[in-house]
Amino acid sequence: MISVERVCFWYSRGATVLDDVSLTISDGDVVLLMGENGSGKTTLAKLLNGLLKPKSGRVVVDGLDTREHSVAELCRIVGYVPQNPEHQFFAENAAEEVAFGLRNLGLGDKEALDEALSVLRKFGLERYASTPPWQLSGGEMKRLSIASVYAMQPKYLILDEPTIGQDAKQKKALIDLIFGMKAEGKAVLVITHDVEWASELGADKVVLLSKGKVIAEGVPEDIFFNYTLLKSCNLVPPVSVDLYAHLSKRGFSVPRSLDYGVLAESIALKLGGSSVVSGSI
Amino acid sequence: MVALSFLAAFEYEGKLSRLSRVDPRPKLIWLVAAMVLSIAYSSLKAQLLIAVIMVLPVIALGGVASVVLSLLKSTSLLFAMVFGLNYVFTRDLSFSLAMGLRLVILVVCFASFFRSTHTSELSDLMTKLRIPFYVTFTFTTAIRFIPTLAMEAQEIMDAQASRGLELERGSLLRRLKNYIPLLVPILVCAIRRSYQLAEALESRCFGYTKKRTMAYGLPPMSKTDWMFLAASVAQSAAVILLASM
Ligand SMILES: Nc1ncnc2c1ncn2[C@@H]1O[C@H](COP(=O)(O)OP(=O)(O)OP(=O)(O)O)[C@@H](O)[C@H]1O
Ligand SMILES: [Mg+2]
Repeated sequence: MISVERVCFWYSRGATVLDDVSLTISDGDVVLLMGENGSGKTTLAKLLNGLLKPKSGRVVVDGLDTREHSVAELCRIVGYVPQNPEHQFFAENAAEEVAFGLRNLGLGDKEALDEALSVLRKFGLERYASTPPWQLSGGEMKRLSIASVYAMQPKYLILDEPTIGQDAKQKKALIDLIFGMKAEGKAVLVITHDVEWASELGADKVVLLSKGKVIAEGVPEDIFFNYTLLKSCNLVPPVSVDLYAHLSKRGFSVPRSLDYGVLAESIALKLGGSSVVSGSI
Repeated sequence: MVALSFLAAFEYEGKLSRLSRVDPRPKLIWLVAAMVLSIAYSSLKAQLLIAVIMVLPVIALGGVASVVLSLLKSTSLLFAMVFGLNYVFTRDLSFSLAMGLRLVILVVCFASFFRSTHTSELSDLMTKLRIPFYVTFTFTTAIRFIPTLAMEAQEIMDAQASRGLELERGSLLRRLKNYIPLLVPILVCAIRRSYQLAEALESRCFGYTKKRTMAYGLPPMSKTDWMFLAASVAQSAAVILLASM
């Protein structure tokens, strides 16, 4: 479990960025962290793996206080994928890039490279194994960046805006990947502005950050149906919520759900259509 | 990890100190005088004279004593190296100390000048000196980008630390190799940034006209500015006089 206890943080010579933030991430949780630009999401993420240390309060990862442990120790437990992938590429090819973290964990050369190749395959990047990372497209770079941290198999994974530049297929694959980790009992913290994708993610918990404070925390259904809350974080609700609101205004009572399938089913039944097994079209 | 904080000592501080309100022209003359004297003389006595007569008063005027101290702390390894190497090769204690002190003087003078001079003052100053605009622009842009690059370097160090990079691990060769994952992205990002900047400038028609209009130039020198200039000349004369005695 990661617990953030009443953390305050500011950069040197700057205003307070995080103000009395508390948060827990339990094992096996998928947590969404959302908030307006500059609300402190990236800063909070860096506090979780010890890159930044709280000015007051504590961050405890599986019983380890981040102030007492180095990033090198903590990164075995907490994987952090930075917002900008270009900041980490240095190897001559994508496979080496992924193998870097594995070698730091103490894997042998051959082992690390084999593992790197299998991770590349998982991310649909195997044909770039011997391509320099800089020659990948924007979305592929982002994916390589995620792959290079995922390969280290951290117990907690923090993804800072993972959907940037990803096409629909890759966004779907990302959800599968996150739930693959959840199934293994690992926890994932996802930072994103992509409400539509976030509403499809099916997270266990959504945390809203605004101006450095946690303004709401709850299950996705509660957060995404709250227009006022979303508005205070410069977010707009997903289309399914809008549709629900329009239907309710017109006296249609439909179930409150983020899943179009459920909405469609209910409308169809009211209109005299037939029920289908939910999901695929 | 690596201390990049020393770069902050060269960053413009805002119009806070008395030094930052002095016109850049006399300040530049002071900077050049102190540098030339420090480089011209190699005796410990002369370096001490320069430090006491020319540098200390300006540090006081700039109110930067604490900044200078932290600057010296973060670059102390460099000074130790200069001193140590000189001593190893010459076995001359006073000469080696003088060389170490010279480096301190140069760094402190540069820091005092750049801390107290805004980039717009710099470009006005360079325009006054009839330096072509594209040179002025390149120079001031480079200076303006130092904090940005420092921040980017920090992001890069963070990204690699998150993947378990430890700089202080292994043999000497291993430790040198540990820097590759930092240096490559720092260089590549800087180069990419420069291309992006060039494209962004060109798409906004940079270089379309040869003659640029300037809204403001440097204001005329005030009484204090003249006093600063006179003091610099007097300080230089005093150093030359006392050093040759
Ligand atoms: N290295 C830094 N030094 C000083 N201030 C910083 C630094 N990094 C971030 N900040 C400031 O901290 C605040 C929060 O930044 P942060 O990057 O955590 O926001 P964010 O929620 O991740 O935003 P975004 O959605 O744009 O990624 C911002 O006001 C920013 O200006
Ligand atoms: Mg961010």
